[in-house]
Formats: sequence, C-alpha cells, structure tokens
Amino acid sequence: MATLELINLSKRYGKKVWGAKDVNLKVNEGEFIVLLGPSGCGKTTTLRMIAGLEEVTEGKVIIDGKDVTYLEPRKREVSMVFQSYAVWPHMTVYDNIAFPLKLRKMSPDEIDKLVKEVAEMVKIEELLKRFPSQLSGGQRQRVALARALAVKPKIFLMDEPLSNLDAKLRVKMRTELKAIHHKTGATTIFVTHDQSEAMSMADRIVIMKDGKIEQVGTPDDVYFFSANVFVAGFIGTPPTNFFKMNIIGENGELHLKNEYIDIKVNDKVRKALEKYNKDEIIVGIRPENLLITDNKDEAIFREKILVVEPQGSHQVIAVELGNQIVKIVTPAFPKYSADELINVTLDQERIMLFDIETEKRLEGI
Amino acid sequence: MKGNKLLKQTLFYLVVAGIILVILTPIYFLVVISLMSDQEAYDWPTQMVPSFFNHFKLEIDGNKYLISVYSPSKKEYVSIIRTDNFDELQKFVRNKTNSNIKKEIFDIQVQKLNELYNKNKEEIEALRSQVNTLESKLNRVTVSTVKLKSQLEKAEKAGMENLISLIKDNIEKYEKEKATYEAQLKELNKQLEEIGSVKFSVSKNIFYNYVRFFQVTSNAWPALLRSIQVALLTVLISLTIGGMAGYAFARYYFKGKNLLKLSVLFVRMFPGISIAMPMVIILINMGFYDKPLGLSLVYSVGQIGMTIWITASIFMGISTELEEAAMIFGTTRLGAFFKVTLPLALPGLAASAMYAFIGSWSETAQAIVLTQFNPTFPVVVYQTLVGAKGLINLTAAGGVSLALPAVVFTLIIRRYILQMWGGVRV
Repeated sequence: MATLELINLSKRYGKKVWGAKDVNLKVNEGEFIVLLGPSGCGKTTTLRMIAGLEEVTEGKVIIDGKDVTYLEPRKREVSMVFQSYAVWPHMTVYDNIAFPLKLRKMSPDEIDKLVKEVAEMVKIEELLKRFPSQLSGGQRQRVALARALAVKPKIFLMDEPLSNLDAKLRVKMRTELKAIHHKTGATTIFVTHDQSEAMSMADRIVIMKDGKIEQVGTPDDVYFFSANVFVAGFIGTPPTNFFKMNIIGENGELHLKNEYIDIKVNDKVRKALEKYNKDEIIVGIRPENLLITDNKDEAIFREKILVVEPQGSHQVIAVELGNQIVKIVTPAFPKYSADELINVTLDQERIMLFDIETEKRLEGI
Repeated sequence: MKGNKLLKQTLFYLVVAGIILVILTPIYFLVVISLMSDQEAYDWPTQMVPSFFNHFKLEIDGNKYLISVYSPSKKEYVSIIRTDNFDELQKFVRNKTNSNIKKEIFDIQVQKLNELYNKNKEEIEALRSQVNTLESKLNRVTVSTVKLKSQLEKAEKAGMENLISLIKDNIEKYEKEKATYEAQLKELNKQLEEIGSVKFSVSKNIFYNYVRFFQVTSNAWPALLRSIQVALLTVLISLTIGGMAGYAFARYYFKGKNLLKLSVLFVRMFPGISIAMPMVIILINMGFYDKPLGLSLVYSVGQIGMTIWITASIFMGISTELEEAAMIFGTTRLGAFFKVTLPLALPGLAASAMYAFIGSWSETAQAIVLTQFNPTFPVVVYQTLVGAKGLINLTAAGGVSLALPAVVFTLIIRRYILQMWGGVRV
C-alpha cells in the first residue's frame, strides 16, 4: 500500500513519436486507478514506465515519496499482471508463485505458507503441482494474479489482464479482482481499453489519448461531466451523439440550430451560453437523453426510424439526419419498428456543450 | 473407397519400409562387418551375421602342424597356416579369424592328435599316398584338358570337322575322369579327416577389430581425444557467440539487422576446403596450426551462422513478457536471462549444440589440410581406409568407433531437445 505520483512523465520513441507526454497523476493509498483509452494512447507505456520496464525520457515516477524513476524494476516493490499472463512455462504453479519469494530470500516455511495463502485467495489450491501448459487461460490468469499478490507489493500493476479471457469469464474475474482489491487494499493501476471494465472497477478513471491525459475522475465524473468531446465520445455505449450547431437568438429566445435540429434552450443552458462568444458550438447528447415523444411542439426533430436494435432491457433506435446516424436509447416498451416516424426531444439537464475550437466542455453545465 | 484406403495404406507402409531399409541397411552392414574377422569378411555377403565361434581343424603334415578354419560359404575347411611354431600359429590365427587359441587348449588338441595319429599311423600314411597319387593324376588330367581345349580352338579356326569331334570326345572323357578323381579325393580327404585330424571350436573375440584398429593405427587414441576436444570446443564457441548473437537478433532492433543476419550465412556458402587453404596461413600466424583449438575455431566459423539462425528463432519464440515478469519479480536483466529465457531456450540450444557437435565431429576434408602431426579421428579413419586396402573389417571398426561418440552425444542431448514442461515426458 502506497502512494504514487507521476510528474510530467514522458516517453519518446525515436525522434518524434511520443508514447506518453507530460503525464501528471497522483494516486492515493489503496486507490484503484484505471488507465483507459483506445489502443496506442500510451496507457501501457505509462504503466511500463511505472514498472521500470520502459526507460523514462522525461519526468519522474515517485512511489511513497521516493523517486524511483531510474531504479531497476526489482527495486521498485511493484508487481505486475501481464496481458499474456507471463507465467513461466518451465515452472510449476507452485514454483511460479514461490520464485519471487525465493529471490526475496524468504525461508521455505514462510514461502510455503504464503503460496498456500494466495492460492486459496485466487482459488487455485488444487493446481499447485501442475505446469502452466496444463492450465486453461482463466487458470493461468489466476496464477499470474497469485504470483503478483504473493510478493505483497506497494503497487499492483495490471496490463489488460482480462482481455484474453472469454466474455463470461471476464465479467466474473472483474468481480473477483475487485473483491481481492477490497480485501488487500493494495494500490492498483489497471490498464484497459474496455470502458465497461473501467467503469465497473475503478475508483478513478484516467482517460488517455495520444499519450496525454484527457480526464481524471470517478466513473460518474467521466460519464456525466466529460471534460471534452473525446471523453464524451469514448465513454458510453452507444457513443454520444455530437451535433455542430449555430447559436441563434430569436424573439428573446435562444436556439441551438442546425439543418435538422432546433433546440429551444432552457434557462440553465442559456446561463452557460452567456459567457460563450462564438457563433458555433458542439452539442453532445447521450443516446439515453434523447426521448421519443408524442408532443410535436416539444420535438427537436422529426424523422423516420432507420433501424431498431433490440437489446432486451432496452432498445437502440437509429435515425439518419443527413449523413449522420443518431442513436437513441429507449426503454424496452413501447416497441418501434423501422420507417416509423418519430418525434424526438431531449432532457436538457443532461445536455453537454463543447467549445467549437478547443473541444473543451463549457463551464457550468 | 475401401480399395483406395487399402492402396494408400500399402503405399504408406512401403514408403516406411523403404526408408527403414535405406537408413538401416548401411548401418547394419557397417556394424556387422566391423564385428567380422578377415576370414568372414572375405566370405561377405554369403554370411550375413558375424559368428561367435570359429571351428578349427588341426592336422599333422610331415613334422608341422596344419590348421584350417571352417568357412560357411565354401562349406569346407580352409587352411590358414602350416608351421611348427606355436607363437607364429597363434598370431596368424588371431589375425585371420579373431580367435585367440590358448596354449593349454592347443596342447590338449595336439596330444589328442598325436594319439590319433599314432593309432592310425599306417592308415593315414596309406591314405596320404593315395591322396598324393590322386592329386597328381588330377593335375595331369587338368593339364591335358587345358591343352585339348587350346587345340580345339585351333581346329575350329582351321575348320577341321573330323578333328573337332575327336577332340571333343577326348575332353569329355577327361572331364569325366576328373570328376571321378575329385569325388575320390573328397572321399579320401573325408576319411583322412576322420582318422587324422582333430576338430575344436574356439570362441571369437567379437570386438577384436576395434582393439586391432587402435593397435594398428598408433595415433588413434590421441586422435579420438583430440576429436572430442575439437567438437566440444566448437560447441562451446559456436554456442556462446552464436547464442548471444541470436539473442541480440531476436530481441533488439538495429540498422542492417536483416542484412547482417543473412550475411552470417554467406560463410556457409563457401566450401570448407576452400576456406581451409587460407586458414592454414592465418592459423600458422596465430600459432594454432595443427592444434585442436585452431581446428575448432575454423569449424566455429561455419557453425556460428547456423547457431545464430537456430537460436534467434528460439529466442523469438520466447515472449519478452516472461523476462519482464522475472525482472519485476526480483531478478536483474541478466538474472532474467539465466533463470527464465535460458531454461526455456534449452531445447533449441541443445539442438544447435548437436548440430555443431556432429558437424565438427565428422569433418574430414578441412581437418586433413589443417592438421599435420596431430590429426583428428576422422582423418585417422580416412587414412586407414586409404592405406589398408582390403581390410574392410578394420576400416568398418574405425567407422563405427567414429560414429559412436556422436551417437552417445546425441543420446545425452536428446532429453533436452525433447523437453516439454507439463507435456508428454519422453
């Protein structure tokens, strides 16, 4: 259990490509941090720099107040679970878990006790004598986890540990990982590209893009108060609908308008727009905040349904506005069908407005 | 459909049988001949398996002993030596039949023979004189036949019809006579054998050829040791340098990597013998000429390229994450290599070690050029083959002793090549 601090952490490949740039992050004791982003966003690079597997170009890594930027991996007291598990094939499960402990010069009795303890924690007591080649993917994953747990690290690093598991097992392991984290209370950095994994496990999510941090926040923060267009678009399925709109004042009323959509804004939005002095704006509306209504006057647009995607608990309706596909999430009932004409309105409390140039979210909304 | 399957199966078994035949037959021949005596090797291939005993016949002829050995191919006794000196007899018999007749056994047989001889002295003498007369008769008949045959040829050329038939009749007559004499002679010899000779069997020293090979070629033992030295040194050099280079090729990116990797194979494209000539000068300058180290250096040049290619693909197959995991869990960079990568690469390393060993072990051409007074074992075998004409059993023994260390090394290394953690243990 420890704190971690990254100060202007940067990694440059070759002369121009930045794997990570000016990553600043402060992780509290016992926190579960998820690094989230599309592939190539620098999340794994950042993790590997924390582990010491990647040389740092600039910046500092500080664990428990101690600068470890140029320390060997083994001296950092971190442990890591790899995407490919990286359990050593020439050792039995027992030896895999015991190997790091032996290197720490523990007595055989201590090692034995510890191995049994972690094996029980991840439920692999029966597999200790087997070789990794005799295990399934999920079991190997557990071995890797046990090995990482056994050394009682200051920081627990996980590099997409669930991505090689099948969907069902992944969800199950997610719960177990969270339970283990709760039990051990170890500071954890978890890398994933799966947002539902991130949302369900994280205390705080770090969203990265092109080597830079876009937003750091709790799952609710990043979902409801997305800092910019990228975050709003990345988090949530189906993704947020974005519209480029003009701000038009008519008869003392303020409208957000484009070719197809006309939104008469409420007071809250109007207040937020007061400080904004550009004509155009990006409006983001999450699919579940678009509502289908019978009231024609309320509607911001009227359109024929393109396709309906039933999901059981809800249905996703797609309509086409010009070249843009707009997705709407509605409850399972009433049922809609393709080519049906619908009136769509929105929940203005949940509207997201972004600066047209900086793509940053407008303050106050 | 069923017929098709049957056909396929038959074809498959035929191919398998063919492969076995092609591989095993030469090995079988080599090993069998190496276990045979001169006498047996002479009978090859009527006799397919080496015998473990030799059957001897001892006679007294005048005041000398005549010893013969049974030849399975001729189905009769073939005389070896006629002498009155036991030491000479023993040595000669040993070299010819690989059996060592001990003095005691010989004495007993001689005693028996003497008793027999004394008992049947007159009969033997009578039979002998009969044999002698028969032999001279046979001789005469043979000579006459030959003469007649040449006359027949002349007559045929001249075209004298009446003469031809006459000569033909005569030849026929002589040949009949010859046959009867031969039958009589055989009968007499048989009788003589029964009353005038003793027969006994002596076990054969089946590995005598090997002993003799190392006795005859005075530098065989040191050459064998040198060969082992050369082969092990080659394995060591090519595995350390080639292995390290292979690791670098597998793990690091640098400019001209592929070109470099390809160029190490260029060395192998030159025939060893053509490199050997300039190498003589280089080795003399370095002071390694005619020394095992020098030879293994030359061999390593070729083997390193091979080792690099094998080990590079082995190291590429081992995930870097395994090393990184080791580094995170407490080893150094070097420790990760020795504790994780090396054990995992062991099968591949063992395989390339085997290649290097076998390659340098049986190499002859370069060794002939690069050594002078301290040849390696293959050179010695080669020299025996060239020098001792006709002694194929001796050369075969040398060949088998040349193959044996390579086989032993392969068997030792086999368990590393077939290593599978948690898989099927071989």
